[in-house]
Amino acid sequence: MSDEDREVLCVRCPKGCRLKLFIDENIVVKGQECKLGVDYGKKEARHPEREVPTTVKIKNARWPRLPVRSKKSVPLAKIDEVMEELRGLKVEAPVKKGEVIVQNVADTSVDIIAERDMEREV
Amino acid sequence: MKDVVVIGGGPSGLAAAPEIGKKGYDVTILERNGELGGLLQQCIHEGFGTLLFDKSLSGPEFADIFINRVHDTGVKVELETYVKSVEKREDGFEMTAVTPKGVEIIKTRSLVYAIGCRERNRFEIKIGGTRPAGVLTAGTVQRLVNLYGVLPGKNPIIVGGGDVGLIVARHLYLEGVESILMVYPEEFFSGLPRNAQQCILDFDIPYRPRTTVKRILGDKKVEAVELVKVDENWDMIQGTEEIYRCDSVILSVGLVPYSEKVEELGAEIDCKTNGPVVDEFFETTVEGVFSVGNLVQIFDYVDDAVQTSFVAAQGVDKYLKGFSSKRDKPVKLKPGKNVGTVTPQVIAHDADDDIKIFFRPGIEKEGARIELTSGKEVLKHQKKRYVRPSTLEEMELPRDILSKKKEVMVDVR
Repeated sequence: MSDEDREVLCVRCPKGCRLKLFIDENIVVKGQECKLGVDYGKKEARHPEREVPTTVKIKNARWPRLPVRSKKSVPLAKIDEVMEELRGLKVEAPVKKGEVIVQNVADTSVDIIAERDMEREV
Repeated sequence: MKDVVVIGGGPSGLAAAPEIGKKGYDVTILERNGELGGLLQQCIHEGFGTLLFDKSLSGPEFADIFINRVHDTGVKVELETYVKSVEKREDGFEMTAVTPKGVEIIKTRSLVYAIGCRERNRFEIKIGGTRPAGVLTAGTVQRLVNLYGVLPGKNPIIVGGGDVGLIVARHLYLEGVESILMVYPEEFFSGLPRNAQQCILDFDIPYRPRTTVKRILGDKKVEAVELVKVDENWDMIQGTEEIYRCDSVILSVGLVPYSEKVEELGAEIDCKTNGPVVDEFFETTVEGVFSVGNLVQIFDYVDDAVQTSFVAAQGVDKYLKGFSSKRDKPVKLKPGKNVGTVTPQVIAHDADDDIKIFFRPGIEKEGARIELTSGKEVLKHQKKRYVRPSTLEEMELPRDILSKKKEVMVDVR
């Protein structure tokens, strides 16, 4: 395997085949037991992306933390940067579900949004 | 006198109450916490709703849909209200509840228990050693981290490779702990492959299969654990002990239906599921008392858990109208060969609709054949590509195959 080749679990069913991804001009997937694995492996090989669920500090609310998530998935390699940007952040209640908390987080062109309403409680 | 009291404002209670309320009944949810949503408010990761709404929601987002339904259907909600005890009376049930106004008596014609499950603790899996601070269950950690922003320690060890443990590992990693080690007795993570990949493998978090914690060490706070390897029967292998330094121990070692309350009321408990015995409308063996969600058995998906609430709503309606469909002799549904649990345990009604049963396989098998049998007769069979004990399976049970049957077994071959 070259440096770029990776191993990954297929997430398409509970079996969880261990896929070997040989990444070249073409992508070769090995280790799958059905064609779902080939499809998943090819998608996963080029641009692995993940959703980021986390919390940010919030003032004057029921809880000290507001749950937030990335509106779409972000590149896996960018997750640390996303977390770094959110770490120092502090918002203030009230907040509405779906409200944008950070625009274009870590230059991914993805927004971070609130997962729930948080009313003002002092 | 209320028509229906739903005890518990978590996902299964939130799903049951509006479904019953929209049939015109007077329904009240009693919730011991200060807000609705239960466990969902701390499950900030996505993946909820994929079966029910065909989209991937976070826990709070999933809860919000049902909280809106509660408000839209005129269901009453009493927060910070804890039901201490329940007595059966001639015309219904009388509850003693601790409320913000003091101790109150609440009367209702029927009851839906939606009180979920609890986490198993260190003593249930026989972890020895001292009793220092810093030993927590995974759900408690999830609550501390996601609602309060408090980390359990800087160097936690997580015991158990199921979904809750995996999700908590990712929270802790993302929130910046210094080190994490996950240990579990299976050959591989028992959680979903998606969670194994996206919570552990993505971040190169260290993990050790076939390993467990034998003892916890530390005086006032956790200082270390003694790890030990286990064989395929999960028996400890003498001589493989090793001291591992850590400052907290997080247990993700299974969930148990919180069935003590319904047992006190006289409901029969299934020793396999640890939840109450229910019929296909989720009525317990105490007439007028229903049980839904993770109290019945532990579901893998909240989407499946809340479906029990939708079905139970029909049952509550039947009960309040004075049952017309109960069979003379109920059919018993039992786990047979290579099956751990089956729900419902009893088919008590004559009705038109098919029944969805859930069963937990007792073995891991590729190309499994699921059989519903009565004596030597195979009533229905179905192929499954792959089954394993940590994945709950479901199957349609057509009512017509039940005629004149007393007992039906579910087998995995």
